[in-house]
Amino acid sequence: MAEEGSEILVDKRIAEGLLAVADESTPSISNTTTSNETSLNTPRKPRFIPRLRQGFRNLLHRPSSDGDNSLSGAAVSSETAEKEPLFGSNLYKDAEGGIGSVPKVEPPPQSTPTLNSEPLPTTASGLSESVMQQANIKARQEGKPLPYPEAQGVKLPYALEGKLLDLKGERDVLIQKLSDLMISDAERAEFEAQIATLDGQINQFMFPTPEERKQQVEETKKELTDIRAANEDLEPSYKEDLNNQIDSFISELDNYIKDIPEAADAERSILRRVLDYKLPLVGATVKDYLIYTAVGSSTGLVARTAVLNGMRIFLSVGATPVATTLAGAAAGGASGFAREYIKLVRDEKRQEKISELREKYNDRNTLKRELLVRLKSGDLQRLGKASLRGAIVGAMSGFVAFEVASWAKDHIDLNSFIEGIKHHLPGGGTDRGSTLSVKPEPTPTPWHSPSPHETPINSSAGVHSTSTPIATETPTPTPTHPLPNSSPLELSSTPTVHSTPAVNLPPGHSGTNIDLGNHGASGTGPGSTGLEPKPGSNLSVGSSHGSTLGVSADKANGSFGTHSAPVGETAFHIPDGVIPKDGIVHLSEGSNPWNMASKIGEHALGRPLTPEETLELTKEIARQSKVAVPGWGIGGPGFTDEHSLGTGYKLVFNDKVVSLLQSFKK
Amino acid sequence: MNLQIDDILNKLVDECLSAPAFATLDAQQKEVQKQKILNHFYTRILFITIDNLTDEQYGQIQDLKPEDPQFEQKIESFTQEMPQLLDLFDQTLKKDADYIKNTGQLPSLEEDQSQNPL
Repeated sequence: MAEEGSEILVDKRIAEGLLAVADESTPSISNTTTSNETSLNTPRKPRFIPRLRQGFRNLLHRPSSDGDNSLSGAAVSSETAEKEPLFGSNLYKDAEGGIGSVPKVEPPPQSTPTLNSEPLPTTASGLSESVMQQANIKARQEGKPLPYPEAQGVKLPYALEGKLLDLKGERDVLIQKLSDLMISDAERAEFEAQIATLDGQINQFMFPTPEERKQQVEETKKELTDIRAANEDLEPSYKEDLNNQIDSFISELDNYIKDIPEAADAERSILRRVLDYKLPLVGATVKDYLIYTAVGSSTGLVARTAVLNGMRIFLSVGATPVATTLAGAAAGGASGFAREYIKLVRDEKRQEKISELREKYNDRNTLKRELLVRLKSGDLQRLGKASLRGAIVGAMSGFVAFEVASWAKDHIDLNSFIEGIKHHLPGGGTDRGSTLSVKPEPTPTPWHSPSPHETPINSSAGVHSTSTPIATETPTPTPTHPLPNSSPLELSSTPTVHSTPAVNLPPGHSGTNIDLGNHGASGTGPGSTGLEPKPGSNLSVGSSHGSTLGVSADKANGSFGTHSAPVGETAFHIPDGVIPKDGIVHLSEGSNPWNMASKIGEHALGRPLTPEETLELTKEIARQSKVAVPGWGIGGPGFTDEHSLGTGYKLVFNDKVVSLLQSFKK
Repeated sequence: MNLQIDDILNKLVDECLSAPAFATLDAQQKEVQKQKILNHFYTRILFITIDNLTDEQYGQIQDLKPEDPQFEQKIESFTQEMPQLLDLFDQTLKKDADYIKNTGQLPSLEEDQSQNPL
């Protein structure tokens, strides 16, 4: 395993020079050996495995815990340090060192140099400045129970950080090579394959399973042991330094696997999927953003904290007071999930809110004008950047929340969760003190038409129909814009809430959203809410581009009849009431046709549809109902655009649809 | 690949300036326009953020001076709770960029929809 590589003297006296050497050496993707062997008269220097080079580099930045600062970062030139973000240096570190028995590790020095010239976001120290953390801190000071669940966190040992940095370096080199127009197709394919492999390895470092974590630790310990053995004949002072470092590394590694957080598998699974989401505006995936920005470590922390909170929230339903659950949801990444639902159930009140909001925005216009007048260019940009940084973190949290919600759908009884929320909202049933009108049963599912690469909404078998394997992970999504464009968040793009009177946008602008508590991530992708309407429940809410769609699937109103199976078919029977006798379902206001189709199919089969089945079924219904969905290649004369369907539009559940369902049954 | 915050918007600004509407400008003039467009984008981001604050959040910044560091901290903290905001930025800024490219003017931030010549 050990390979000979570049040499680094581990001594602060020459650390700066060595780091310069290290910087000059391109991260190797081959087994090329560099040799700078010393003369016989020079005390032999320790030889390091390239993979550990960065780990040792990090060590040089590391504050000494025992006062022996022989390897402190004092000797590191700022110029050198700025070249490399210490990515991951606090990737796993909870703002407060985590809870439970997760090892608490010293934070890196505040002056940790980063690539990014931007100051770290206010959450650079984790979520300490978030509402959640502040509330927890306050509660702790007052001796009250913590209102929000606290995130666990572990810090990646320095030796593993080094490996992660090396992987990143290799990836950088490959991506750089990919940008070369002169490379052949074969080389391009080779590089892409290597990047994919590295991505898998990076994922393993960023979000390892317990097994992977143990394996990483064992491998690294072996490498360290090899290094120790290979340097037996070192000059004594060097040898002592080296051995001290190795002991320190091994100790950290042992701590790292001593206590592995619960639910690590699910967490890893969720976060790995999140890594492939594409961030709007940024134009890069979460993974790339995390890898390439110094903000990455804090955003990664936020994302990780969000998922942990979200999972705990869902897991704790029934076990802990729902108020705590909701509070956690509102503060953590799962906030979107809770808020979205709250918003949905009171959507009928939205219209009433509009006039009120217009008033509010007049007021906000005053602030805007003041900002324009008072702020100098630099201040304006500073505040804008703050917004942007926060929004990037917010988007990541949204992705996480979406995945948490998807995950939770299969793990908990969401109806119980929702019922709990309804009765524990601040203000006696609202999230902002307004009257919450909650229907007893409706669990609206916002809609959008699934793209050919997506699984339609409410596919209970999964969220995505296409997948890109990441490392050992089975299907992982390759979503691009899971947020509003393709999501229930379209709710917030309804013109009524779009047009912000305060800001008149240029022609063509749809305007900005008016916040109705809809910061939800539950609408960030297909099946995102995970809220499955019960049979016979009203399906309501869901609009896009101003059209209002709705499907009344209320069994109680008798609109559904019994499907008569074709003659000769006995094996397949659609339960009474699932499909109307005439095979026509009229859209009612606010409903999602594709959800409707999916639910009917599910009820007809008596089991959840697979993603493929859902996609096939919704396509067939689109064809039969003459709904144009360009993304599916469905359209033509007489077809109505999916976004232009009006109330009362007929969804056709004819024999072709039934036959398709029948084929699923077989 | 560089994904620093500055570069995200700089890329969009450069895209605007590469439009024919700005073809006749020399480097110095382009730099001036660049700052104007950049300021416009940041203003737009800030305004969208303000519009999307909850009443409670808005209440927290309403009386703060914009120069107050707390103002910035709160803005960043609030936006972290808005998963849809980045997408909104994306949509709005790209529309603004299209407008700038096509007209050579800044879209209005004010109510009268009048255009602000660059």
